[in-house]
Amino acid sequence: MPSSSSPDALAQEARFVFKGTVQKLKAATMGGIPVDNRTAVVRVDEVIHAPEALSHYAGQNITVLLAGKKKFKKGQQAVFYANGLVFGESVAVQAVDHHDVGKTPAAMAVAGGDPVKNLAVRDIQARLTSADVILSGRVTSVRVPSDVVAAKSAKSAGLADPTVTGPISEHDPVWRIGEIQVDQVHQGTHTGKTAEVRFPDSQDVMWHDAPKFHPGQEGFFILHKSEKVKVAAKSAPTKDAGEYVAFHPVDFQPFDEPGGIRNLIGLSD
Amino acid sequence: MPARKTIKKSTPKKTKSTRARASRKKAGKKGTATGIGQGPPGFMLVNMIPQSLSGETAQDSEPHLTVNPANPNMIIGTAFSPNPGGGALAPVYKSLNGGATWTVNAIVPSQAGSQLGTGDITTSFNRTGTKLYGGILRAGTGALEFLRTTVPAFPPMTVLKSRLSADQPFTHATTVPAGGVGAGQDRVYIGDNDFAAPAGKTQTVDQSLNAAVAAPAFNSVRVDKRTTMGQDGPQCRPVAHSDGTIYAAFYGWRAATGNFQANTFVVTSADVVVVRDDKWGGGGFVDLKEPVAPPGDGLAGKRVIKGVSFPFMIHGTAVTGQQRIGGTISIAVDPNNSSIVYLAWGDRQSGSFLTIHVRRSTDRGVTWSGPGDLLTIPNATNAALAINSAGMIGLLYQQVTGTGAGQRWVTHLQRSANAGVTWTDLVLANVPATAPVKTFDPYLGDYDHLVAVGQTFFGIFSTNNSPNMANFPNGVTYQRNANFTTHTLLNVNNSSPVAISIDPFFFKI
Repeated sequence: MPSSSSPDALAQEARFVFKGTVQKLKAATMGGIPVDNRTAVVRVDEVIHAPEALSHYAGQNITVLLAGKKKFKKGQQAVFYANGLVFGESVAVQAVDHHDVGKTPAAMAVAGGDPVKNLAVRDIQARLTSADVILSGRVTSVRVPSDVVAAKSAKSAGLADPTVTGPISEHDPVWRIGEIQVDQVHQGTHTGKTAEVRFPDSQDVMWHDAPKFHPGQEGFFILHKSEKVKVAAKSAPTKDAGEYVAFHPVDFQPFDEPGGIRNLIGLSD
Repeated sequence: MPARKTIKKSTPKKTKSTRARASRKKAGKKGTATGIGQGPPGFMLVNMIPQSLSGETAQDSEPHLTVNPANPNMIIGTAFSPNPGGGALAPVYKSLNGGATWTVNAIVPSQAGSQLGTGDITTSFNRTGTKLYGGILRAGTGALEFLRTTVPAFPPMTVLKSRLSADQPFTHATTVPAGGVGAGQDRVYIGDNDFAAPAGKTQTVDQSLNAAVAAPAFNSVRVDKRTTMGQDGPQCRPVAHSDGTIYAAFYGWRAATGNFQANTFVVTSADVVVVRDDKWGGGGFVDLKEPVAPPGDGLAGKRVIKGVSFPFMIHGTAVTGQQRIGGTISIAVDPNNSSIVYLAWGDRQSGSFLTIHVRRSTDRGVTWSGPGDLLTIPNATNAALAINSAGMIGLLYQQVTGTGAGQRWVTHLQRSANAGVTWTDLVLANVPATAPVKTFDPYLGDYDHLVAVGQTFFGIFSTNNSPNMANFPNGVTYQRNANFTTHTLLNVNNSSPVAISIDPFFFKI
């Protein structure tokens, strides 16, 4: 019996959604996978949404670790919701659940047949949903937080630690504050014609894919309140932390980005 | 006094091998393996990216590995690798056949959709091979977390403890042997730089003396007893001997100058310190003390070398082969005699952005060889020491040679069977340092790793993955699709070219 959870709800949990047909039960497509009555070889008939590494498996057999206790039969077709588990000479995925064929999640058809784009759109949608505000505008300036400037000045006077607020670490976010000239507020409430957004300017492994702002950039800013974001709050300058923070790769979408952001926030092209 | 050997430049050994040429398979075959058997007997070098990930182009830097002491065919490797499936778990690399083939398994707590996978990560099997422990900086929060999973099932790792404001966890686990007090208990030591430590004495060994129980307790031992400049460096390297002797090595930062964010920061005075605990860590790491002044200061922790200097870079530059430089430290204890311990550290010397030094103690860290080194290597980093059951020393490191377009990263394994008097050099990889262009820092990693189980050395390093036999003078095997004739990586379809990147490589000898 298929899941009682909605397809869209399952799609939030699973990075790999595909239509597949069970080829063999109690079997696997590669060694090293413990085989039991919850392991099956499934042919991928159609990839609906997927990360790049799983996007090209249409027509191929993979190993699926089936969820729950629902029984499957050889030849049974279903929409599987899964996450990648083991990558070797083949692939094994852990199913979250499944649905009857024909219940393809509507939200996944946004980008057409490209499963990687479908997943990317879904990720942006999730970020939009959690955002406190979505603005469009232009970066007018970028500055060092005043706490850091003060620390440097204190060092010059021989009073304090030299260069940064906080310890010297290779994982220092190198916080900067970008001032945004706001054209429009698309979601949430923001007063004032400008917005201050803190972002990590570091190229360290932990921060390198965060947005990096510079004067002149124009686009959509998907922003969260500074004090709400755990990691950003803990390592933030204490006095000049910025009203908002942007550190997820999708938190900035240039106006010329063809990713459909305008559709997602209800704007016409 | 052992003779000092200085490596002035690295020249890869060139061997002609008709076996190597004959063993090359035709280009474009799936799972092409090339150059097998070209190195010394028993040598194996394997690119760890599995065939199903032939299209990946991530910068898989900062590798680490652990070998199951009870079953050396079982090996776990880690690196800055995102979950290719994009779920809420980050991957480890797993081999069940001694490193010949590898899979990528998602078991490390992470954040759904994270491009990072995980921050810093190191893992360690216990001695009985029933548990795998780990220390990470969690993606999304940066929290220091201590992890555990069971072997051989490897379910998703459980978080044993979590806290913020710490850096570079380095995990070492073991099990108390039969016959001793606490026999059968897992002992886990995780070295880290804890910025929440009081008085700026941030070097810490977080340890659990009974880590296999349901809710193990961890206590933080602050191992730097001396005044710091406000903090210590990120590297804290613990290692345990089966008789309960635990060593740890670290840099104690005493003074610095420059601007970290401007990439001009230099530690102008650091002590290279070794601490020791003779009771499995239960004594607070105070068993190795300096004599009172003069000549020492009476405090716990032997300052093997005082006042070293080195750059602590926020990002790598062309001069340093794109690799950020911030010191390097490794310590290894002889499995047959806990009084014998080797130490490697890096500092700045004239004409070298970082020079690796190796020295030895035979009296439990009280005195050290010198004033000369057993080995001195300029323009090098990522030192990793190990000692096998025959007393042979191994040192893994990565060295920059040349400049400009001719600049190379050369990865070496040096071995000595006579306490460092003479060394045998094995070049593992010799690759361009200017390509690929780095995606983030660190380019190759703030460390690599070397361990010994029995007489075998097992190691891991990250480097340019261009499939060119000239880059691997002692041979290499690729699982991912690759054309060694055109020097092209190929996607899963075995025809579309894939850009070169940084991959983790496993070796054993």
